[in-house]
Amino acid sequence: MKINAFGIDFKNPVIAASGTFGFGNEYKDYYDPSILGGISTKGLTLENRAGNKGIRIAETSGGVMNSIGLENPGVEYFLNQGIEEMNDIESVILGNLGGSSLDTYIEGARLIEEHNKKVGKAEKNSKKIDIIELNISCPNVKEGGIAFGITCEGAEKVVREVRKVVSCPLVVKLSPNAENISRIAATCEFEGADGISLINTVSALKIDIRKRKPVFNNIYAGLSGPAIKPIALKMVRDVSKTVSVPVIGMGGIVTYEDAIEFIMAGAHLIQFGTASFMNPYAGRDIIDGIKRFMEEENIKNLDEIRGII
Amino acid sequence: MYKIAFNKKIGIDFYIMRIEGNFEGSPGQFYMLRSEDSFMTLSRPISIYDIGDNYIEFMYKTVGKGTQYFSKMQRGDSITLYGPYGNGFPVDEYIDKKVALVGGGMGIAPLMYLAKKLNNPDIYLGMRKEAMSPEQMREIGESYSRYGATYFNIGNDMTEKIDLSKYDAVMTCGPEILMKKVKDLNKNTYVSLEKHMGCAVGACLSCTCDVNGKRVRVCKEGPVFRGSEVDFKDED
Repeated sequence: MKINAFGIDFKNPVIAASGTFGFGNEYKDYYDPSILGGISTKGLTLENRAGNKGIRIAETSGGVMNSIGLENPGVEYFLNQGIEEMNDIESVILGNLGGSSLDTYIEGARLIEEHNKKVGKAEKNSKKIDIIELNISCPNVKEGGIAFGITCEGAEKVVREVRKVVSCPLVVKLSPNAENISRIAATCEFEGADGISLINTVSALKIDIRKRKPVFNNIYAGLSGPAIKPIALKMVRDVSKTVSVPVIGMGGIVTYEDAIEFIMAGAHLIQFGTASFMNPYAGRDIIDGIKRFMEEENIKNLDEIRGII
Repeated sequence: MYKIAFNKKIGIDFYIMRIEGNFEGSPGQFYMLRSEDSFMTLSRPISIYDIGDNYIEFMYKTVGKGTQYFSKMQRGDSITLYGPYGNGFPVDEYIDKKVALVGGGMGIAPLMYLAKKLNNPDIYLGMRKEAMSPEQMREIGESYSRYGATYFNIGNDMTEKIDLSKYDAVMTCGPEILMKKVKDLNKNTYVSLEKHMGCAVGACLSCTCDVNGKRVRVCKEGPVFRGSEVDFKDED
């Protein structure tokens, strides 16, 4: 199950998705988070954010809609205090970085780079951020994030500038709402991204007909869960066929069968998110399931089935 | 997965579900309930109504698709539970003190197990008059009165009629307007907040709010907080 991507060794291809796994320890009553291949942190922004007001999560057929609004303690606070919680975790850490302007992305990335250098020189006793997962796809923050994830021009600018300031692997997380997701992925690769992760939630609407109002204060919210899986799977296949860098596939992965589908569609690694709300053991169950599947199907290495569709 | 022992209607849209098994939990804590046959994506947070020898009970109200699905489940059906979650009421600290419990509507649910664990608290329950028939209210009132003097108020503002200042502590659950009035009547009030939740473990940040100037997760640091630290005006 071991896999190397972006020059980093993962013990397995299963990663906890940003925004659904806190800072790594929240599910530790259910299983040791170190069994995971990787953990992507809650989305961090340069300034701390209290997030959106009103209802933030709701159920829909086969899916979950959320409008958290990137609530987080800020990059600096996280690198100085929050990251301590992750010290005992032996999985690859993906620092999910959001932003509201080009400058806030660059400054956030620079702080992570500085942190990694200090850790490298043993000036700081902490964990490194192994990979930056650049979030240009959060649909729930009005002023930012996704503005860079809709067009190739937006993505080009932010990836180019962030690439200049960071030396660790840079993975760009894309939105299914992009004008053309394969082209935007190609643009990110051209600008120096080491990988692409997709898909973030799908922009969606839910209406309370008794109140005659949208359920969410921001009107639109992000749809995740099994409902979006077939869409995500197609996009992962399209992007995998377009770029040569490794792809992290996600979108409605709940079981090991789902994970295998994404690998067959071309993903090197996969992320699970909403699955944890349905089953707090989801991460462990997906890893065990992949292992069992490989034994049953006599697969020695996931490369044998990657991208076969 | 566990088996449902019974699921009975106790009001116009109120139910009590008993589930067989040995369960842990203290008053004010909650479980996440789900049916694997229902295509639910989110589990539903429901507070502990009672725990006894080989059973746990939940009192719930049908408000949406999930709870409506629960209301149709029957004896012998399978249900999945995770928990207990949250902090619960400070029972040990007040076990020998003079405590009032004030519940409104569905907020009466966690007060049953709380009354059972405290020593003879005074119990004030409020309910809108359409919620239950007089016979159903009498039955519910009697079940609470096993653990303390119980006053059942129907369809009016009970906070105007009761002197809450005489208690060492007041523990309340119900509509925010009720909890706000209660905390103004006794400085040592504990409130139990309700929020839409995703994970129940503090990971998704769906249920955060400001308490005492800090961001807290209702599922993890709560759902029970000191009333003096909650500013209901800012509740979103």
